[in-house]
Amino acid sequence: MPDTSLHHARMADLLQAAREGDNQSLGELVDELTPLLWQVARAQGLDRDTSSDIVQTAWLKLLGSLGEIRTPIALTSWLITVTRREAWRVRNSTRMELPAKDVLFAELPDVAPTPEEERVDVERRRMLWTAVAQLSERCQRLLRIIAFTRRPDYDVVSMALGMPRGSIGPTRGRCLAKLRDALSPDFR
Amino acid sequence: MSTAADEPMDELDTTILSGLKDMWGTVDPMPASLLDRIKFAVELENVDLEVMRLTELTEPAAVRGDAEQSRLITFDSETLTIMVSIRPNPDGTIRVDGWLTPAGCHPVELRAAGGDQTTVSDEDGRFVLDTIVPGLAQLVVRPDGTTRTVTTPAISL
Repeated sequence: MPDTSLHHARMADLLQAAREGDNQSLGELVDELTPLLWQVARAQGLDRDTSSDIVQTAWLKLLGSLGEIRTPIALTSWLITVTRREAWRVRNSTRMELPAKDVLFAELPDVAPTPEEERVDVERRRMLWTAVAQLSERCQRLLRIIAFTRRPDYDVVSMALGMPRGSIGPTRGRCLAKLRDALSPDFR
Repeated sequence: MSTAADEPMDELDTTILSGLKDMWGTVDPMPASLLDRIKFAVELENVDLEVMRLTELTEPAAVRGDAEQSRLITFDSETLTIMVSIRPNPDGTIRVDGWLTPAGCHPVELRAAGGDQTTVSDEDGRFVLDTIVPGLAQLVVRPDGTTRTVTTPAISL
C-alpha cells in the first residue's frame, strides 16, 4: 500500500524534526493525531471539557519524552497510552460518574434544511447513527477507534481499547457484520 | 511494522468506516479551539517538565470559557498546587490572583497570546497578574532552586 508507506514516511520525518525542536513539525503531528486521541478520550466515557483537558495533558507530557520516541507507531501508542491513563485517573477520581452510553451517544443535533448534496450526507449519518446505536458498547468503541485510525493498525487499536491484539480482527469483522445487518439496504 | 487485515474488508466495509468517521466527526467534533490550545501549549521548551492537571473548576461546564464572571480553577501536579481566581477588569482585560502551595517565592510566568507576563510569588505563595489580554494562556512556574518547569495546560482566559 504505497499510500500508507508514504504517510508513514511523512510522519517519520515530522517526528524527527519535532525531536530536533521544530515546532512547526510538532504542530503538524498535533493536527494529525489529535482527532484519534479525542475519540479515545470520548470512547472512555469522558465529557467534552475533560476530554479536551486530558488530550492536551498527553501532548504536554510528550514534551518530556519526545527524545525517547523513535517511530510514528511508538509516538501514536505513547500518546494513546497516556490519554487512556489520564482518562482512567479522572474517571476514578470523584469528579464524575457518567453512563458511558449517554456520552457515546449524545443527542444527534437537529439539522436545518440544506441543499440536496448536503441532505444526502445528513441522511447517511442518520442511517449510520441509528444502526450503530443498536450495537453493543464494545462494538461501538471498537468501530469508533478503527474509523479514526488511518489504517487498521492493530497495535494502536489494541492499545486504545485495552483489547488483546489477536481479538481485534475477528471482533471488527463481527461488529461490521452486525452493523451491516442493522443498516438499511439503501446504504451504499 | 504490522500489516493490516487478518480479516478481509470489502468495499462496503471501507465505505462504512469512512462514513462512521464522518458521522462521529460531525456529531461529536473536537472543540474548535483544541488544536490551537495544544499547539500553543507545546511551544514550551523544556525537557524537565512537570504537567499540572486541571482538577477543579467552580463553574458549570456549560459556561466555561465565558469571561464575564469570575472563575476559580485549581491545578495540581506531583509537587505543586495552584489555585487561581480569574476575573475581568472593567477595561476588558483580565486579572489573575494566584496562590501556590507549598508556599514560597518562585518565578511565575503567564504565557499569553497578547504577551507574556512574569512575577514572583510572595512568601505565602501568592501572586497577581493583572491586565492580561483575553485569549489563550498558560501558567508556568519554575520552582526556586530547581531546573524543573511546572506548567498548566493552556486555557482560554
